[in-house]
Amino acid sequence: MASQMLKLEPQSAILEEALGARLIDGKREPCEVSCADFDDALFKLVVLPGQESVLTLHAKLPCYDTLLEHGGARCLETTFAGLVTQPENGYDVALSVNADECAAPTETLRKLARIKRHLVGAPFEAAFEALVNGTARDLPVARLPWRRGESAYIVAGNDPASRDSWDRVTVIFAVDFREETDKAYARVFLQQFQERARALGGAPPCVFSEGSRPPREIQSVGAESPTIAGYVSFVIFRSHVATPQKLEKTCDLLVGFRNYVHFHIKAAKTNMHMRMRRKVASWIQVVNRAVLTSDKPREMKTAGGKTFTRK
Amino acid sequence: MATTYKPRGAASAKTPPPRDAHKKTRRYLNTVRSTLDAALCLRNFPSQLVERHNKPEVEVRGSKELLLNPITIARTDQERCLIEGSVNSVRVSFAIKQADEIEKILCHKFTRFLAQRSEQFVIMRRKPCPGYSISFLITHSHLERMWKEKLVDFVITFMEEINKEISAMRIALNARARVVAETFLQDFAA
Repeated sequence: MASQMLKLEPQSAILEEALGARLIDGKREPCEVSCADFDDALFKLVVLPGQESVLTLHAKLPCYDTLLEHGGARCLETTFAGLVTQPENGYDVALSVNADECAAPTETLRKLARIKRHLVGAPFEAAFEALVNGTARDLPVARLPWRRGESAYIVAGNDPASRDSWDRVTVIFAVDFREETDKAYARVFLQQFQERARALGGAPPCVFSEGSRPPREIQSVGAESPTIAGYVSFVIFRSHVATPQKLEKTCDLLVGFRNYVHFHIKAAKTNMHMRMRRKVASWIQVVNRAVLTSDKPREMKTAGGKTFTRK
Repeated sequence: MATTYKPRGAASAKTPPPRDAHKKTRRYLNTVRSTLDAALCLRNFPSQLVERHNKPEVEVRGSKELLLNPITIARTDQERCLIEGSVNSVRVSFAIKQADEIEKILCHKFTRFLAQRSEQFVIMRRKPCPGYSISFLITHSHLERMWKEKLVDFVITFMEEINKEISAMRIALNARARVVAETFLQDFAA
């Protein structure tokens, strides 16, 4: 389906395939698979010869220390309980599982393939759980510097009408691109997010602000450089995270937001490029039409049936 | 009904195009066509300074008497056309309308794309004249190999279509962004 192709999945397909072969299909082969994700995330799956059933997944994630502070540590204790081991040099965290002794292979596979979603999403999950439990007031303002010059901010907020009802969490993404062209595209896309959120009922309100005018909420923790493409903030209400499924979905979406925008900007650029190519090809035809026909080399045939080109 | 006077070039990027914009474009292009037709009256003219050299005089600007007065035809202050004639070559430069940031980028990309393929376009100049988006250089040898009317036709169709294509691309980009945003936001509500 077309609308399915627009979305990115929260798990890493390479990890899922490599882990799935060992956890579920029972493949026992030593391997060392390294792969990277869009955003400075690195993964490495190691299976040593001699102990083929032990799968160790090393991961390097952006702003890992900040993630640990804001719920990452708890995520390691609950979601990945009993799996954590010593990471290799250059990686932040390692998870190890024995394929022979794994009680719930499908569940483990899902967890491991979504390692980035779980760890990067931990601060979001923590904030939304606090929102559901009514303890959002005590939430510290979290700033996750997950890309160079770009951060995600998580700020609890109260109803402007009543000071004591802390009923919302604002998630703000600072979005930037290195090239001016990409920045301009990004602005077009983010503005559309704002407009569509207004039109769609049930979607969290979304506000786009220029890089020179950072939202008020993040002034206490420091904004990014004023030359960035802009900020986009989603206001998440209790209704968006009311059930565990909804909470999960909201976290999936927010963790993937930056990559989603990035992916679609690239797709739009490709599309433009294709259009231009097609147009240019048609113009070349128009120019060629102007060339005098007698000037072009003509293919001729002799009486014997041989062909030659007359120049 | 009272008519209000509006000075030329007062229409900004924000105001919608007037109802007769299409007619105005046509008139602009017709003027360009007839001026170009008149300017394309070229002959072989070897260089007066260097023996056995034959260069487009409009580029080398060797001597004053070989150059004609340049003509500027303007539709708005952004959209204009400069036709520089000489004894053996004509240089036509166009400034393309760039209403906003996105159009500017699209125009830049498009013209760069064309300039890179200038060999295939024969009459395209690799670098536009300063202040213009795109330039063509037509020499007498081009006219010996090509139909003059069709060459002028090409320049005119090109101008017509590049404007259309740039605005179509901008609209396509907006439409795409809308769908992308909608798909993302719908999932929250689901």
